Amino acid sequence: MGFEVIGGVRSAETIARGRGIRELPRLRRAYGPGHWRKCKGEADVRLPDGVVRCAEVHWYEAHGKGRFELKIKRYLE
Amino acid sequence: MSGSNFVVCLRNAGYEASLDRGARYRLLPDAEAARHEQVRVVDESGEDYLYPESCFARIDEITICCADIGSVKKGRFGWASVSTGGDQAPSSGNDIQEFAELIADRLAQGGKVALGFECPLWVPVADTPRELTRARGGEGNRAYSASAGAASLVTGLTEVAWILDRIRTKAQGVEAFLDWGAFERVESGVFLWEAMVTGTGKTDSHVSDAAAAVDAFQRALPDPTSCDALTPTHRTRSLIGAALLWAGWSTDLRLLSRPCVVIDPGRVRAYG
Repeated sequence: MGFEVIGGVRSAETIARGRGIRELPRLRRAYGPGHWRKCKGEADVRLPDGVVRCAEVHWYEAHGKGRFELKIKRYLE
Repeated sequence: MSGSNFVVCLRNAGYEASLDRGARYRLLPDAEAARHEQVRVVDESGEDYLYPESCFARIDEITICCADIGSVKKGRFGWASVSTGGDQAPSSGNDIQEFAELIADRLAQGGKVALGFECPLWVPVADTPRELTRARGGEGNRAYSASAGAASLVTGLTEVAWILDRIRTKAQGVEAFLDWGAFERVESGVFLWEAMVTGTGKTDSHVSDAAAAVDAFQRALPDPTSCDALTPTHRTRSLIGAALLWAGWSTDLRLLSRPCVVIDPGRVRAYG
């Protein structure tokens, strides 16, 4: 939403899974049941004003479903 | 996007788990994000993230309050108040004087107030005699002229006028609005609206009814006219307009035929 990931996401790691994800019921409602994980990583992103920044990004994923709702947590540089 | 601690989500496509369209979210200051047309918002995860500014609309700092009109003497008057910015703790009570003073204080401090009354504030005057006293468009089988509506209308004739008069005395020079667009454009003023708490929206106390109406108005933001429960089908006789004229808020006689927004908590839930 409003930004584009350039290249891929680096240093991906899981920060919460299953019931450890506060918004799990909303995830299930929006995208269906699954073993949901909340992840974080680093990526170069093109922002709405066209500027490219390195940012910490968070997202949700479940096996067989893919990656959802990539969000920028903070700029890293 | 400055001047408010809250925003309302306009678009959530692709972020259905993180945001609800129409919901309010806390806005955190982030000057760097603002330079990139983004805002830092606490979303449904409870964490703050950067989102495009265009996905949200700023919510003005408004005190929303409502009086459930009923006999003061018999303890059937109740009121509730909240602030959209969260800078004022929600308050409520049964004291009509305290209610008027709270509003007057907010206005005297240069604030914006959306003031609702749970009683009919305008009535239609049909061209056809047989249709006089017929329900307003959207009221269904709970016509303003039936027993409950008529009783609150009559009580409201005096209580609304009394409240507006008290506020006017304490907050001189403040403008009153029935038009939301005009109210949005000013820094300070009072917007008048009608609350229609009926059927399933009705609760067990006058304060709770007032609180339900306040909550509904808040959820109807940023544009309460989009949740207007009633549609004038005939020329309007405006009771709120007459009260404003009587209390000296205006000399514009066009107010006598100006309806106001009507908020029905049950329907705002349905719209949501």
